[in-house]
Amino acid sequence: MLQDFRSGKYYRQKVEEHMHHFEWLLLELKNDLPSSGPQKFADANIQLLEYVRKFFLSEMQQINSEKKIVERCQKYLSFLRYLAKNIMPFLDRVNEIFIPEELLLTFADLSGELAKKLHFSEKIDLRFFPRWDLNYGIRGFQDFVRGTLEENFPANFISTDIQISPESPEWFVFITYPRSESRNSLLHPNLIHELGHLVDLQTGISKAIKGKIKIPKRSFTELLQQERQKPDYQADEEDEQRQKLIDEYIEITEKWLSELISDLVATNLLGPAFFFAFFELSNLTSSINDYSKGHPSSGLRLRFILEELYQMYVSTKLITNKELKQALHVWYLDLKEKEENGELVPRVSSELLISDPNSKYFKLVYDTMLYNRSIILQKAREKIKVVSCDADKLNLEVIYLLNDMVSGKLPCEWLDNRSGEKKASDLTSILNAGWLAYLTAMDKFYCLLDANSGSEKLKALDNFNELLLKAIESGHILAKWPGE
Amino acid sequence: MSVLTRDTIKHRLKKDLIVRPILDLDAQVEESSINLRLGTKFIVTKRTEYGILPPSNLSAFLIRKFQAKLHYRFGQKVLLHPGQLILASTFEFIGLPNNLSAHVLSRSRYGRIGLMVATATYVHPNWKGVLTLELFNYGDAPIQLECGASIAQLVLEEAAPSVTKKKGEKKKFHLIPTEPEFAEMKEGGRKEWSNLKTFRELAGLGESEEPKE
Repeated sequence: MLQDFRSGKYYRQKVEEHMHHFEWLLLELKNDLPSSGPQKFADANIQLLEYVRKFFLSEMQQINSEKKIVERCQKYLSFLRYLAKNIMPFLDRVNEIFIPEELLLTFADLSGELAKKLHFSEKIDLRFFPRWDLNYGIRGFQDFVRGTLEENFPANFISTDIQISPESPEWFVFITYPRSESRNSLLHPNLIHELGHLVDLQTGISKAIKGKIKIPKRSFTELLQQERQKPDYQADEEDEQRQKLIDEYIEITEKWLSELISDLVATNLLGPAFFFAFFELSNLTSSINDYSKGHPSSGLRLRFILEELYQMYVSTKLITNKELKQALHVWYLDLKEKEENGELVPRVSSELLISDPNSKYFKLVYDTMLYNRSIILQKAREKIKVVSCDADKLNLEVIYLLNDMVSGKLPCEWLDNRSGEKKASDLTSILNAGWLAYLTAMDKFYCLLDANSGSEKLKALDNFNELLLKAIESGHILAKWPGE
Repeated sequence: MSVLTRDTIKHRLKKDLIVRPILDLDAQVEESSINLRLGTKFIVTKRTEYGILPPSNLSAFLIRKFQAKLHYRFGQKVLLHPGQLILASTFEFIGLPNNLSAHVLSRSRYGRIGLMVATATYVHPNWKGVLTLELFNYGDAPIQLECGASIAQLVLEEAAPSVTKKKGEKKKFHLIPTEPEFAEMKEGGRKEWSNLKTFRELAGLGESEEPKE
């Protein structure tokens, strides 16, 4: 008998088939995963699917209407498509050469340390996941099984007591990064910005600051005035128009604040290395004026990062290293001047692009951020100063490692002359030493490897990055090694 | 030339010998050697991918076809089956001054269960980098190794620094290894294989069967 493609029976069978395929897929992926860490995420997905199947079967028993069955089955199929698109890619096994495994333990410990110092949950499973575009990001799945079910099914439907495996972490966090830069240690400080997002999500720093910032009234009135002058403007809908403007403005403000706070977390943790790495990334990806709804222009971000660095180290005269001080000073003055000349104002860089109808909001949010800069920096610092990189690290340890680096020694430990002890170096000091060596002494490194031609220098730079990664892994193990 | 003993090793470690990181100085520096730990990166052979390995023609393409890189975590276990060869590296980064050379040897406890850690065991003065180890199980049972376990020992010897250069020797571009290195045909080796090929032709021995890429 010909099957009716519109019947409830047909749809029900399709959902069961898809769930079966999904289960097979999950088990295949799980078996192919190299270690127990990502396997936990596969297990959480399997657990999620078990609940969905349970709900599906019980729901199907309760529905009598054919139309309702079709409707519900379509919802389940849509949920399975959602899983395939948004979650399953993170279970795909990635060629190991594209994963900076050396950083994984360091990052796991760092997120644990941040959780302890800033008082949020330590039950985080942190992973790296490469992507194809030149971009960094973070995907967090909090309370994965319950969260995903609640997000995709009606509240009254999730009545059964969901038993989450005690093995399962509270958060699965995937930090994504460009595959092409997976071994580029000099750009890895940008991964810390993503960790900054985790800190912000967990501690709500940007949300707390949002309540403290003031809207520059003049700019907002100007914006409203512009709206009024439009020919299609309807005076009787002024309240509605005003609310629309405010809503849009608040949405962008929240997103931009979150980016700025994540930058400040990374700046406090890594010091100048984050500034250099972000500067390089922004040069590679956009102009300093480019913006989006989710991201402020890199000009504005760099201005905030440098202001923080300047206040942390330069204006307080805490940095004694001449080159570092000079580098920060030069960039600080340059960006300050650009800001004063209005050169950092967000705008679409290419004239070929049609002007953005939302640009009015961006200018206003930009003004708001600058207007509130002191309060944003101050409030953020109050929260995150406990994780700040101190100036001594930059003055002593980083300089020691820089010298080792350019003489071809693995910069994983340093001699503290004050105590005469050898100490393990950490992510912050190694990345800062790497950047300082890159900016000021690369010729010495090339000379050490007898790299003369362009291609030899490129290979030497790869080698330089590998040395930094090896140093981060070795320094971390040395620090964690149990003593006597 | 004499072999360095414990006190001299410790003295040289403070002066010009680099072994980094040494996780446990007292345990790792023995009477006349330094124990070296197994690193976290490996190169394994993909046996199903390739038949004969011609040392005379080890191109990057062929190397990648029959060898794959793996990265384990420090402390993670690695199994080595009887007859299996894995390239690994020392966890420690070694830097020798111009008046020291070294040999890498198996530690006896591993040797007695069938593990050989290195065949190309000599380390030249001025070496910088991790050392590639050729782990081979010549025993009857699989051997469970752990990344970070002390599996090899470095015996250091004093060497008189060369004052003259090799004829025609120029400074050559080189890298500092941070992980095990794939087998590679160096320029000197290429010349030798080319001479052998010419000799074979002159002697009428014909071409030996070599796999094509």
